[in-house]
Amino acid sequence: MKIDKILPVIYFTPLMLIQVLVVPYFELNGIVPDLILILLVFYTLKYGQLYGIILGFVLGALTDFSTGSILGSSMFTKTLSAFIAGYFYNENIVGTITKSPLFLGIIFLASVVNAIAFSLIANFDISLNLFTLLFDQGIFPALYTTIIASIILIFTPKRSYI
Amino acid sequence: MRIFGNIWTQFKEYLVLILLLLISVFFISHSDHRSVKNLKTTTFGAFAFVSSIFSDALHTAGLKNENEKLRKQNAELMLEINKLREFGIENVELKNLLSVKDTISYQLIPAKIISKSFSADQTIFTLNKGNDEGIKAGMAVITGEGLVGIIERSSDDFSLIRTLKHTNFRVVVKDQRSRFQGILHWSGSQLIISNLPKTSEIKLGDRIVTSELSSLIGQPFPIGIVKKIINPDEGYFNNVLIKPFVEIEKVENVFIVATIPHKIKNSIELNFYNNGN
Repeated sequence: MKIDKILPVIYFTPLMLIQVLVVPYFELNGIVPDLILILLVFYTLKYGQLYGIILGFVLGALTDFSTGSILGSSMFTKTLSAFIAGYFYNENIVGTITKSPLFLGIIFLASVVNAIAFSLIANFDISLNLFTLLFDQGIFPALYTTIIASIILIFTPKRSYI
Repeated sequence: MRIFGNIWTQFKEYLVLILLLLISVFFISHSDHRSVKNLKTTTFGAFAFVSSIFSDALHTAGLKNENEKLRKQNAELMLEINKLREFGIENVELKNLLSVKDTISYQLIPAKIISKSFSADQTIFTLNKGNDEGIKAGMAVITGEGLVGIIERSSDDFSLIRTLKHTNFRVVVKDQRSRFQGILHWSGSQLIISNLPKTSEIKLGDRIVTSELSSLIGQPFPIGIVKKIINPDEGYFNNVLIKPFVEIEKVENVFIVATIPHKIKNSIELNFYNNGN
């Protein structure tokens, strides 16, 4: 069980390599899916809100250190996203929620929070249009992340390996 | 003690959340601190090393040398054309005066982008060249089409580019036709020159280049063309949207312009980088 809980940190490096080397080929107008967020939501729904908050902080720190973005920005947004996703944790449906459409809804919600929070931290501009903030910087990136998560969900075998 | 125990049991998620968010905010507010920058340079260098191994495996090596030569030639021609445009405009303006002798020499260092980090506000690339190749913070990064960004920081073998599509990127630019100057920045969704006076004679389609007044990029590198002038009939100032020449997301190979500026000028203008690194 304890080893299971550090698995997402081990998965981070290969996933981050895919994020910075492969995912850019699939960018749409500068928007790319956030694979680290999918990993974070998956493990938050598996082990609960408190675990997710701490994991979000750790994965956010690793993201900041490896991408060169403002130190603390991903820490903040990933911690907050895991907190939101953690509300959907239910001990009774741990095994099934990550295989259900609800999982995609949670990823979408967490992703919107992540993207908007990141925009506010990285580019706090009082004249920022609410529509731009919500759609261009919130919903569109979140939709892309959700679509990729749905593809992963479809091709994930019924028996869990992670 | 029992009260604290009860509070912890009931609100531990909130308490941990607040604590971790406060730590994050602390790091955000100290992100320009020297020790934090050094730490980031070391960690990104380590990750870039791993990325470069996989990046090389992903890219085919065929025709690499020939492509590199052609790209370099292309970039040099772009700079030459741009310089000639500048001279042409200056010649019209200064036709009765002596022409200014060009003393700027460009040394182009070819580099490959080994990883890309995208977000709406911050597009950051990692290059496979660093301090060992003479790369320094503040150097301009270009392709055959124009400016990509500037070097933000570098380790011995790798460098980070702060691209045009980064909200902390600011550069003084000018309209190549009307000569009006302004500050270009990325709004999170568009490249904008803000607060240009209404009297500025900027027209759609005008070429925008970096200005010689820029403390970082003191040479005229192409940026893009004027795509739209926002609210031309209202207020005292115009905001101008720019369509960049370079498709930032698709760039794979770049050149770093290793200029050797005047020592005193350099020490004054880049002092914030020197202090930071």
